[in-house]
Order: sequence, then C-alpha cells, then structure tokens
Amino acid sequence: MDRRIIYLVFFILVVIAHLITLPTRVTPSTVTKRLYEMVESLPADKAVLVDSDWGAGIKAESEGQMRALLHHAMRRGLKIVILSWTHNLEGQKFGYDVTADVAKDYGYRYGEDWCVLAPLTKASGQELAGLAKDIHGTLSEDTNGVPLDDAERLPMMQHIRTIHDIGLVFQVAYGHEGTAWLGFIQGVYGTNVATAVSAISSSTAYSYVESGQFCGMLAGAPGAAEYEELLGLPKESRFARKPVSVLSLAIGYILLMIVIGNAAYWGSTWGTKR
Amino acid sequence: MNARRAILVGILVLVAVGIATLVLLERFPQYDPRRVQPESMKPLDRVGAWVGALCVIAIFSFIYRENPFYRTFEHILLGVSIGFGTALIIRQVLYEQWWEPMRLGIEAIVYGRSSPEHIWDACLIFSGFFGLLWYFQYSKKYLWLSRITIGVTAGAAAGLGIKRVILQDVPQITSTFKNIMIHPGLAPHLNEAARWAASAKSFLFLIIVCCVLYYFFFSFRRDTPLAKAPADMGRFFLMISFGAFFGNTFMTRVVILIDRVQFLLHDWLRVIHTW
Repeated sequence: MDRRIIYLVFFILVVIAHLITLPTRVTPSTVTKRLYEMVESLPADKAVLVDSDWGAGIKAESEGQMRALLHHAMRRGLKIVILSWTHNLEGQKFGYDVTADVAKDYGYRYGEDWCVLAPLTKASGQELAGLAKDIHGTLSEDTNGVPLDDAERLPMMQHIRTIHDIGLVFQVAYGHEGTAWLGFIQGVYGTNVATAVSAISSSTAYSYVESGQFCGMLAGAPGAAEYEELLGLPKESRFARKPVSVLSLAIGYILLMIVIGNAAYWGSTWGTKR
Repeated sequence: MNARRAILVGILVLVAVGIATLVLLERFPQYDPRRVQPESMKPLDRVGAWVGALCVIAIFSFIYRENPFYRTFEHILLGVSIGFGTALIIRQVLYEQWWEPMRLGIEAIVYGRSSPEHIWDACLIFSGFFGLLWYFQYSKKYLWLSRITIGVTAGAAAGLGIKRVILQDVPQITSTFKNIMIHPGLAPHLNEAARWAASAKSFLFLIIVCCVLYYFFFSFRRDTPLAKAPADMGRFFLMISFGAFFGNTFMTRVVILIDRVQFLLHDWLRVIHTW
C-alpha cells in the first residue's frame, strides 16, 4: 500500500476528531500529582519562577503545560515571575501572552502580581548562579525596560530579590534544559525545581523525578491534561483536553496500522519459510 | 515534478481549501468568524493566519513528495531563522548587554561622575577585545592569539561542567541506593501490602540497574549461561526502555501535528472556535 494513503487517512482522522467530541478520561500520574501537591503546599509569600524556554515548535505541548500551572499558582494567589532567554525570544513572547491571558481570569495585574523579566543570556549555568544570589543585579529590568528596583511600577519585585524568595522554579521547555536548574539551583540551594517537557524528552527526565531532584513533572500534553484534571478546571479553560482526546484516536489508528503491517508481513513470509 | 507542475498543484490545493472553507461555513453557519468572534477579526491576524496556513501546507506537501513548493518554504524558514538569530544576538546581547553598559560607563568616567559600577561597566571594553581574539582563527600567523580565548573559555566551561556534574549527577547515583526490604520502621504510613509492593519495586529496580550495567561490562568473556543471562536480561530491559522512548517520540510528533491541524481549523478556517 502507498504510505501516502496511510498519511492521508491519519490526517483525515485527526481533522474529524477535532469536529466531534470524543470521550476522554484522564487519570493523573504520580509525577503530575507530586507537582500539584508541591504547588499546593507552597507558602503564600513565596513566588513561582516560570522559566519559559519554549517556542512555536513545541507550542502544542508546552502551552497547555504552562497554562495549567499558571491556573494553579494564580488560584493560590502566588506571585509569578516569568524568565526568558536571549537565545529564545519566542519563549518570552509566548510566556508573556499566555500569562496575560490566564491572568485575566484571576484579576492578576502586571507588576503587582506577575511580571516578565528581561531575557537572560545563557552562560554554562553561571547566569543561574548569579540569578540565585541577586536577581536585580543579574537582570536589572523587566521585558518592558522598567528597572526591577522601580517600586511604583514593579512593586512585587521589591520582595523578590534572591532565590530564597522563590518557592518553585517551573521550567517549560522542549527538552532537558531544566537540568541546569538542578546543578546550579536545586543542588546548591535546595530550591524546588519542577519541569514540563515534551513527551519525547520525558523518558529521560523521569530519573530526575525518581531521585527527588525534580519535585514533579508534566510529561507532554497528557501531563498538562492530567494537571487540568487535578485542578478541576471548567471545560472552556481546559487547553490540553482536546489534543489528548485527538491523540487517543491517532494512537489507536497507529496501533491498528502496526498490527495490520505485522500481520501482512508474517502473511507474506509464511509461505517462504515453509 | 517540475516547477510548473508544482505551482499548479499548489494552486489547486489552495483552490480546494478555499472551496472546502466555503462549504464548511455554509454547513456550519454558527462558526462564521464574523458571528463568533467579531472583536478578534483584526486584519493583521487574518493575514498572519493566511501566511501561516500557506507555510503549513507547503511544509506538509513534502508528505506527497519532494517538490519546489516545499523547497521554497524550507529555504524561507532557514533564511528567517538565521536572520532572526543574527538580529537577536546583535540587539539583545551585543547592544544591550555589552555596548550600552560599556558606553554609559565610559561616558561617566569621561565626565567625572564615575562610580564603581560605571568603572566595572567600562571594563567591558576588555571583554570585547578578548572576544575578538576568536577571529584570529582565520589568520595562520596570529592563530596563537585565539588560543588564549579558547583556553580561558574551555577552562571556565570545564570548571562549571564539573560543578554541574557533581551536583546534578551524583544524586542520580545515590538515589539508586534503595532499601530492598521496607520494614514498618521505614514506612510507618504504609500498610503491609503497600510495603511489600514498595519492596518488590525496589528489588526490581536493583535487578534492572545491575543487569543493564552488566550488559555494558566487557572485561571478560560471557561463555557460560550464568554469565550470559544477566547481560541478556539487561538488553531486554534496554529494549523496553527504547520502546518507551519511541512511544513518547511518536506522541510528541502527533501532538505537533494536532497543533497544526488546530491552527488550520481554528485560526485559519475558523471551523472550530473552542476545544
């Protein structure tokens, strides 16, 4: 069979799955529950630092993950600081847009409850070491060019100066960039670090959760859907639900193709062997 | 496929998509964008959606076969990425983090209002010179100058790397030291069945770690069945983990496709307006 027919059927299935409502049952995994419990137990005076290191290429998974955690942090009334990188300005833009969007639901105000820092330049982890000791010294302004010391426009940042003011570092990225946080922040200061990675990278990230270095993890779009389930978000706020329901159908189709392909292969070699 | 045929196919695809849009809007009038989200009908959003959709279709056309339509957009993507990256480094790193602080620092010193911070900022000029030494890579005569920068950079990276490995990877090793028998003193909150389950999990973990490590141990011949069995088991466990890797890889790829289909249906065609 021409493989393009398989692709075409697959594409049509994905389109149809978007137009109909499929039954979806999501059961939260242990790693997702751990993250949920960690955010739930954070002291009210501690902030959440979200490392927004994602872009258009992995938007499908990362956006849902970031939205889910922001919902939880904002529901708890925690201050949110978004960190981005000079090598990935998409992360800055997406981080800003997503946080601004979720903030509308909770009445969060920029500068008072959340802010986006100016992008940081990667320097083999040295930048994280500097950030831990002095946030205002390492990054002197926010993304709009407002000095972090400006008490009028960024009042929340007057109370967030070192890593000790951060209760949780939540890194959203395609892969294992989060491990730099383990080496230079979690390993040194014992700060809680959690990660949200693509499903493709989650296999290797599990060992860091198992060892207790990551306090929790959201693995791909299913991880985001599990977190939304734990939060009990209303249907219209569940960003990851639809992709996961479509994913179930797509995986079912691929499994069917694997079975048919193998059966056809065995069938074609059966006579030869005999 | 020649260029003319590719253009024809591209036009036909666009016409087909246009007709499909009209049919779908006719079939589902409630999803007419003018009725659903009138405030979001910004002209530039629509232009962006059309450009995005064109790019998605061009890249997806590769599934049919290699064609100039795909090749054109692949080159556009590469060009845009390189241009964007270069502009980014000049604007966000060289200008904002090096040139501006250095200029302000030097100005402050020249006009006699320097502070320790200004002096420190002015010293960035040395880091600029130091960084420029890299470019002596292109000179056979002065190549040795670039080695100074390379040496310092490599030394700093090695130092930071060692620190990172110790703090990041050593906990991975220590976390393999698990109690095989979980007695009530270790986990008083667990009932007996849960303790047995935890013990079995620890035991299985230990067996897998040992077998996989043994598989990569090549210091003696594995002639006897007893010497071969753990290595075979290690390979078996590795195969299971590779299967998990592959499954997760597939899942990410499919979610990316789902995202693009959502973009086409939601942002471009506006056939669906929520999920």
